[in-house]
Amino acid sequence: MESSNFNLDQAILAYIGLIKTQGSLTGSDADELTVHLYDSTETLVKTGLSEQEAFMIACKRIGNVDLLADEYGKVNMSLKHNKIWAYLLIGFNMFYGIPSVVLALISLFYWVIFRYFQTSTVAVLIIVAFHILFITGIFRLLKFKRQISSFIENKVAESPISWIALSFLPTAISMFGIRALNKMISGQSVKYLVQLFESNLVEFSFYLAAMSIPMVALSLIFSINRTGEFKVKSLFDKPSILFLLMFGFVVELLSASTRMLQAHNIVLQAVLFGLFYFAASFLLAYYNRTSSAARAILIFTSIGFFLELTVGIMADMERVNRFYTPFFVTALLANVSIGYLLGLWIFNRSKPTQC
Amino acid sequence: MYIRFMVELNKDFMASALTPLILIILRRQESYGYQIIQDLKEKTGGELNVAEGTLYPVLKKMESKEWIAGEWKKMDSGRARRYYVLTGKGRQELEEQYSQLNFINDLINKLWNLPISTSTRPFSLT
Repeated sequence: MESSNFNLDQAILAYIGLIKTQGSLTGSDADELTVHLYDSTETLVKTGLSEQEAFMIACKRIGNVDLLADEYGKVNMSLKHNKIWAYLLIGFNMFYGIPSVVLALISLFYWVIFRYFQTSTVAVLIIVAFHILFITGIFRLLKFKRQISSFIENKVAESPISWIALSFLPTAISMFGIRALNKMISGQSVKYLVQLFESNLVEFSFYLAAMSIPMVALSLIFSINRTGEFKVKSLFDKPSILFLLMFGFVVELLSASTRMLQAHNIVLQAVLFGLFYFAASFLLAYYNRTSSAARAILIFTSIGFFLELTVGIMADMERVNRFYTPFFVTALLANVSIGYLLGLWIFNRSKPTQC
Repeated sequence: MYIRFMVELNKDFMASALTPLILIILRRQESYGYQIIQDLKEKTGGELNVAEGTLYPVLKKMESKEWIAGEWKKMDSGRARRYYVLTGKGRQELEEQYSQLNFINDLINKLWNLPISTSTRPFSLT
């Protein structure tokens, strides 16, 4: 039975568009398949079928989307290579242009807030809230990884030239717009603008926000071979040594940034320092089994342990008569151990009982 | 002996078999994708089962090898069709493929007609 609103032209256009999005068809190939679908449908209509029925049979006869994309892909290899170049160009612009523009806008935001609220509590609250939103937003990007890549893939397949040209826009803005912006804010760096608020909390949240960028980059890189949607488990389950070393470095930077809070009590300072190690150790223990979790924690902790010992002792020597390193190293080891034990305990409690 | 045309052709086999078939069809006259498929179906009594769209990548490959030449022509209906014509190089290729296929066909027939051994132990190790 024919649907009253069936439109053959639109149906053919949609079907060919679907094959085209696979990226292995040239314009001429698409035209040829379109004419084939028209011819096939018209022949079937002459046998007494409705236009919609005829179209459905014609689509079935022409072959499914994947098969056609595969077969065309074999003869249109140059299209595949061109697509790789399109991705390279768009990728360069995305990772250079967009961060530059975002950084400039953040600078402008700091400058505006400082201009209107100076170093007041309102200013501190706005900036800290902004940093928290930034961290949440950047980690949310990982959740939409598949949607973002599908969007880019479709756009490159549909109109590569337009999207390559469009991807240059942030780069162009960052080249010309930032110069004008620098004049406005006297060319001050983001870090300098953050320090204007004279708040340890602002500076600490700024470092957390800055550190979330390499964390997201690590998550993107090390989940590249994993299938399905991004999950925390996919990152921490059976991690590679390279990931553990890099993760260890980022955790150490995050932990070290707690020094910005400048707690009056060194014990409290050390406890704050250890919290990141606790969280990291917990995640590794929770998502891995006993032996591999211990090995993973040992590798990731080694970076921080080594840095705290070397850099810490040098700082202690400069301070004279004030030895903080034992506090930080003890906090590191204690939090890693507690995180490990708690992670395993929860893992063992939550795993299904085996028959 | 009667050999029935294989209805469900293996994808790879079909891809290699299509080339000489297209060359033979184009030897008679120029044609376009849909018409070539109809000719093939007609000659097999409608038993040929092939994803019609896969013909076009084969045509494209043959065109890149200069065995056939394609040209867009506008019909009275206003729609344009891509017509293919056999080239000199294609004619030469067809003759070669035709003799090769005949040779293989003869060989298959000869081997097929050999008597089947009734022995249950074709090889003896002692």
